[in-house]
Amino acid sequence: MAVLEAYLKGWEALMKHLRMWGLLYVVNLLLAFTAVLPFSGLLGETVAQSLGLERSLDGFDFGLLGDFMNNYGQPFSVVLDQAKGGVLLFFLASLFLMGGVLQSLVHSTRIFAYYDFWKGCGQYFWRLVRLTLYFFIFQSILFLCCFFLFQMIAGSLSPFELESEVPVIRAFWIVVPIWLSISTLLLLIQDCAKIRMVHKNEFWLVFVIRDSIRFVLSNFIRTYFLYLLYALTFLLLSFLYMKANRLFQANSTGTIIGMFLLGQLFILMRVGFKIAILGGLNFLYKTQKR
Amino acid sequence: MRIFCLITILGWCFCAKAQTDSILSPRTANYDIKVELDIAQKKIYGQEKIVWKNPSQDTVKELQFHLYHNAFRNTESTFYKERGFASFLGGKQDECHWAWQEVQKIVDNEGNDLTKGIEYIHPDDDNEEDKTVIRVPLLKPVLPGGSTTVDLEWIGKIPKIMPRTGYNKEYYFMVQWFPKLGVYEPKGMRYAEEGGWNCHQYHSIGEYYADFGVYNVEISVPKNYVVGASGELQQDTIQGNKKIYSYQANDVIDFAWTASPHFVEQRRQWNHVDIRLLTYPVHEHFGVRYLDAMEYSLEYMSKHVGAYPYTTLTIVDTPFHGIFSTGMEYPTLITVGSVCFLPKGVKTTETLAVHEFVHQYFMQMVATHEVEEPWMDEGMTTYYEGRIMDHYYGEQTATVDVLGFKCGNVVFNRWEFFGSENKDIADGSYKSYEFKEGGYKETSYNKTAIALRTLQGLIGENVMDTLMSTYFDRWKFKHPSGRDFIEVANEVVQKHHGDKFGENLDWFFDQVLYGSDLCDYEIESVHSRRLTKAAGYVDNLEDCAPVGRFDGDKYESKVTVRRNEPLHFPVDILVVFEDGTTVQEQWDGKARSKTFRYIGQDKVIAATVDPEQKIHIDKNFLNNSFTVNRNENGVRKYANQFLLWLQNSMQTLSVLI
Repeated sequence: MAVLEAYLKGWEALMKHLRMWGLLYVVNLLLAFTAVLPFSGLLGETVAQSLGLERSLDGFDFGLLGDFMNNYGQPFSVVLDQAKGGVLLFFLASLFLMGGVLQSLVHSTRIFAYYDFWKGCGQYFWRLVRLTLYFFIFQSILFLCCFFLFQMIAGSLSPFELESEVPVIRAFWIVVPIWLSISTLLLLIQDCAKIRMVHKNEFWLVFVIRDSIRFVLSNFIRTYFLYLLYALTFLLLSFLYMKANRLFQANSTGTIIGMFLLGQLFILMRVGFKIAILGGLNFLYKTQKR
Repeated sequence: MRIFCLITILGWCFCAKAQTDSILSPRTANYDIKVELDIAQKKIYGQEKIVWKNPSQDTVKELQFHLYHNAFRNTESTFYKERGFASFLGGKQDECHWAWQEVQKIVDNEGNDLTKGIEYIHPDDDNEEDKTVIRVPLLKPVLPGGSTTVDLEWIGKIPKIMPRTGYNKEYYFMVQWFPKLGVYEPKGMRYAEEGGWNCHQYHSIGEYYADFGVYNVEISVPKNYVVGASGELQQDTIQGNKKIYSYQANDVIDFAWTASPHFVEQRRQWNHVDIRLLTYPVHEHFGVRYLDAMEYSLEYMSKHVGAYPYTTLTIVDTPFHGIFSTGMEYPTLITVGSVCFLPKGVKTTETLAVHEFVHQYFMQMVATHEVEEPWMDEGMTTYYEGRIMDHYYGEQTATVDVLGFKCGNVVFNRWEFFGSENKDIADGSYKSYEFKEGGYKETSYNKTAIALRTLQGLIGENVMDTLMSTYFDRWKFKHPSGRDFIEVANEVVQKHHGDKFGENLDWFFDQVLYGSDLCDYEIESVHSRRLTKAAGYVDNLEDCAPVGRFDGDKYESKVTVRRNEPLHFPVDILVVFEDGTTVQEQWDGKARSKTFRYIGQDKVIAATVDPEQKIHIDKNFLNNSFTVNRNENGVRKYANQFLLWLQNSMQTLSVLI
């Protein structure tokens, strides 16, 4: 019941911070546009007046894609580089904005205040950078360990040493669930660490991480299942989005606008999930600490 | 009634046997081989009787043999030096992976021992350490039209995991495993200016070339081993702990075999052809996919090119640890490969099977020189691979159809070629080992197939079928050159199209096969302007006429077509007017550009050069058309997809925060 209550509280927290939600989404959209606009310009200059483009509206056309990449690949690679830059910039922006999100959720007031939000962004930025770096290292170590485990179970990765590809597949199905489970646990601990860091305004992240691990392990069922509940919700909504996406072809102004809106709704949902998860964990943290 | 049935049965048996016994080729080099597989020592012990018929007017004083497995002898072979490694095990080149082939004894039909006369030669380079070709002087030369018989005894150390051949674990795949005669080309055959042996060293890039003959092969293996081989199984007998398989293959240029205790067999009958599939148990479920692909291929090639004359076809699905032997073709035996989790929508399994099967036509029956003119077999095979795959598996889905991502075979082939870095690095005149800077696959496989599709586009599919079936019919069981193929093309096209493409098609083949240039036609512009009446002193020197409009609209439209690259072909141009009417123009495509001018009430709103995409070798179909009205929906659709992809990437990465 505590899990369900925390789950619902997370969504409630999201609804209470609609402006924050909107802000995060707008940042995502604006930074993506920095690459999409030049891409749109490139398409306009190269293929907008080709009947081939018109024919491709009715479905996936590999021929068109291939010709575009082979003949206009160089300018497209410039756009791709810009996109990579946009992704990196978004990552840094997210780090910055996460402080504000935590400040708003943890020290929540009835009215969302921009002042508190920006204050939180500045206050926790460097700590979040360090925390992200530490958990990136932990995730990398986990990945390497799982890779070695994979090699051990498969016996070898060279096809010439294996009787068949079955050991490789078997190893995959054993190791990947293990990796996903532990990786999720690490993400959970990281989220709890963020909440604790803001609650205690703790500078030394070693203690924050230590205490978060203790918290998660002592409330393992609640915290892990809360996370899983959000994950399942996300998977369900993603599935519905994919199904809706395939219902019609984007071959007219109306359907293209429809696809755009549907896509943006999905992105909005993804942005909102992060806030909801933190809100739910925050509620659980507060109630379990009493 | 009983007598009638008996006569019918006997007649059927006779016909079947007659089909087997009818002589299809000159049978120049005939082999009777006995080979014993020693799995403990990883060796084969062979005895070979060769009857060789002199096809020329020359007196031949020596025989030349390939000893292909000596390419894996050591790091000094030409094969190793060109490739940089011999084994797929890369740095693990310890003793046990190397191989050799040694003729112990060779005796002629009069009992003369010719062994001491064996000499290693290297006709392609000055590498004295390369031992892949030997010459054996004959004490009794072979007169024109005569024949000689030699008996050989030889031993071969089987390579481990070498390109195309060898063993790994209990899997053996034996190709180029016996001393094999080169081809004696009389003067005038292919490019021979005088009679002589054509017997290349074994190079890193390139395959094989041999004469037709009858192979009678006895293979002795441990009795629990299952064997697959070229030709028909005559009998198998158990002798102690060995099993001896006797095979006969008629009118073939080679003989390959495989052995493993783990093979599982599946069979299907297609007309007169017994299709036999050998897989390991973990790939048994691919049986239907392979067998269907073989049926489609047999049906298509029989209909469009010529009948498949053999009564057997063996498909070997190589095990995972045997992938070094995957994707090859031998007379009536092909190797294919897959992985057990491959979804049905990914058709690499079928594509490979179809490709290797088509090789039965182009270079097994039409036995071109794989080293000197690799485009003749690889290119033609890739061309038919595309036709068969797209015909049976869909033009949009023949290669991949997974989660909305679709791709046909021909489209994929085109993308692969135009996306490669080395597409203009060489041309069809290169021998396989001359592709030192790359470009072998792009030129021999992809570009040739694209060129043949372009030819099909120009002359029409029916004439193309006539061309290829004439070529096959005329040159099967022979050794044609590229020039021979072009002669057939010229003859057939002239017969069906007269002088439409000029005196002959040499201009076409010189560009696409023997040149390395590219092709790109483009609609550069479509302009329209309103016409006005003439102004100024028009009718006389007194009345100054002002600018005025015609009654009703009158426009001048210009459509400019441009040739951006050197290759040129005759092209069609489709012009579309405002009112929906169309005009089809023709242009010889030779000049750098051509402008078409129209005057009328309606403007031109769109134009397309090569609207039916006949010129497959055009590198960019996107600029083949131009429409006055920009397609904003198209731009928006792809911009939206890009936006979504980018936004999702950003959100995914931010999970780490």
